[in-house]
Amino acid sequence: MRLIIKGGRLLDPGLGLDQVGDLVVEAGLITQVGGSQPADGGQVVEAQGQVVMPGLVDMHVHLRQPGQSAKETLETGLRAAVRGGFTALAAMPNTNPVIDQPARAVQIEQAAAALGLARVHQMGAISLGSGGELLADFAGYAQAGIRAVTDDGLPVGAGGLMRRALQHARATGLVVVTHSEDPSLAQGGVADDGPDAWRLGLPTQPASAEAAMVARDLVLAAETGGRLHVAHVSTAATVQLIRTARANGVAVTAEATPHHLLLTSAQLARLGTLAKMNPPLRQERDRQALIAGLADGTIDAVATDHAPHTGAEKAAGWLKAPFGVTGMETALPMLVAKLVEPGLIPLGRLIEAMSSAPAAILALAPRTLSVGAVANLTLVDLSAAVTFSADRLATAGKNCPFLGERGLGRVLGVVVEGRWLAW
Amino acid sequence: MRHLLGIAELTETELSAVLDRTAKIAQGAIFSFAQPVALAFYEPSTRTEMSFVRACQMVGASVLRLLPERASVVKGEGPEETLHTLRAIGARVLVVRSGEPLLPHRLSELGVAVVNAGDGCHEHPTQALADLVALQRAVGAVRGLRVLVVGDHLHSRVSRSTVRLLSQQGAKVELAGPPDLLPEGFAEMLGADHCPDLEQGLSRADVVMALRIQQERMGQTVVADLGAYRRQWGITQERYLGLRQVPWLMHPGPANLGVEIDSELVDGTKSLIRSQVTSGTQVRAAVLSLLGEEVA
Repeated sequence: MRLIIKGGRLLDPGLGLDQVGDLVVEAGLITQVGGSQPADGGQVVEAQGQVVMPGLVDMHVHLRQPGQSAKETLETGLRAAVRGGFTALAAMPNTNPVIDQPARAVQIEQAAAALGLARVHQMGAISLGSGGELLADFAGYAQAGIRAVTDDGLPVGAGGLMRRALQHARATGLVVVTHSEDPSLAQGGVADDGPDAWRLGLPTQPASAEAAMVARDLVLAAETGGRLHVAHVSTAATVQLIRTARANGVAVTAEATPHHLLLTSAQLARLGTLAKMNPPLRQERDRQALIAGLADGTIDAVATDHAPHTGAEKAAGWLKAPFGVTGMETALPMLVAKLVEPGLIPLGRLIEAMSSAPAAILALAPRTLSVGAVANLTLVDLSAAVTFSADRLATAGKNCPFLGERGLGRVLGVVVEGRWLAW
Repeated sequence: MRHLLGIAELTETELSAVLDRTAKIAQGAIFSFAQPVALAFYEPSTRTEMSFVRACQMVGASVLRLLPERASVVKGEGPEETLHTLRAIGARVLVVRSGEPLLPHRLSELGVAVVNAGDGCHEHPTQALADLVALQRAVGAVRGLRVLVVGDHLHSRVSRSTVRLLSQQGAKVELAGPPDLLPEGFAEMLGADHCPDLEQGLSRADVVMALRIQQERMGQTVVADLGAYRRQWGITQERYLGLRQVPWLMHPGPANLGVEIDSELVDGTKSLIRSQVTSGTQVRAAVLSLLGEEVA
């Protein structure tokens, strides 16, 4: 099976590649990059005006399977991924039941693969039932091809358990992904501590609830040599802690979400519970620190923390509504419009942070336009404006804070391991 | 006026209408409003709920009282669904008290006039209006008046509503309280000043208002030693009566007597605490009758 992508702008910041030409895929691998290729004997994708970039990877997605199909199904979630330009995603294990057994994780990956959409890499829970007490079977996870473990949604409160998780992660090659929150500081707060939340009478959590926990985990990562990945970094203090730790040789990586990169607590009143997520939207100085961290690589990856909920759940008010917003379909266009277009982040850096960087953290096939590489590609018309509306989102979770906003970049389709998927 | 959601949403015109109507009601004028009013108090209340009941009687409105602990709320019915039911029964005005901030704002889009009777830590507009009226009756205009508000501001909807209203009306409001219950920047958010020294603040105050310590809203016990709180922040007899110029005294109630305020002071000559309750009923009658004119 031969696939020819004709006349696109081939862009791979990792290779310093930026030229118009054809790209050929055979048997799932990239066989030619650049030049003009004859269109005979194969499927042709006309890509004039499209940017052909390494396939995007979203390393933080709640697919809600098993057990929560009112919020999302594998099909709606993976269609949303493809529409957003993602070739693969990492699914969080805080489902019902929690994915704390290797076999359960494999089951989800297989069910997802059968749909033939974006590839799913299922994460396993750190502790059984994400109860924060008993360590799950890390060796079993590794054997089953699981790349990372997390109790996401809940912090690992006990330092002793986190230390053992990092020790086992080191021994098995897994990455420990942390939802960093000190519960005694966070106190169930639904917004960042400051005037925007006080004005609305909302219970708050301070930035230290995240930063203090990250500080603990960095100390533990340094001590154990286990690989730590800090999920959804939201505060300036966290960015600085990670920067310093990495300079000292700690094996740590980090991600930030589009909503933390683009929104602040100033939008609480306007967005209502579409601004309720954990960690919460922070202050402008935090947002600026995240952008600077993304620019200098302290923040390795952009990940959406796509967290679908039903409309009724999100309409239950600030105290009762669940945390989380959806973002796979809005991530790239919003970031291009708000960070790349104004010159805050170079396009190449954003592509890296959404493709090769998360792929490297999860040890997936490298996202690159190199001959011989597995063909994972994203095709986007970066000059096309898109406006988001609930009825045009593929995800079942319409709880997206960017509805009504104008993004830049219309996804034409993706190539997932050699297969062309247009939506 | 279509709703009374908060002081933040109240326009100058609406405020004058409420004050004007309140004055007339206090003088014995009758404004009738023969539409059913539903009272949905999802949180316990004595003075607010009773004074709304009395206010309904004063304007001739029939009252539908929802008792959440005996209603479909316990079967999981959400407030929107309850309101649709109350509306179908005939309610044209909903008075709602909830632990959920902004619930009245959500319900205001469902075709019934909504009065916020306290939404979590957010706002309590009729209390603020009652406080303003009680104060105006005691001193005349509040412009330039020095008002010191002491206590748990972080969890207080009264602080958010009353301080905002008094500041808007030109009073010089200062806030005092423990650092964890009055975080830096809180006073400024409401257009007031932070007063770091209670004694100094008291010495220059024309009015002092003590706030309730909201132990029921704290995830953890913040004020562990109530005696220590009283010594540092309480409006005690020694502290209050020892002032060269004794200020007017206010408390939105219910007070933790002997903690934030000494019980002996409640009925003192310069206390407005009972007057706040009386003006509250009149203000609520005024609000209901004004809303009634819109929905009739």
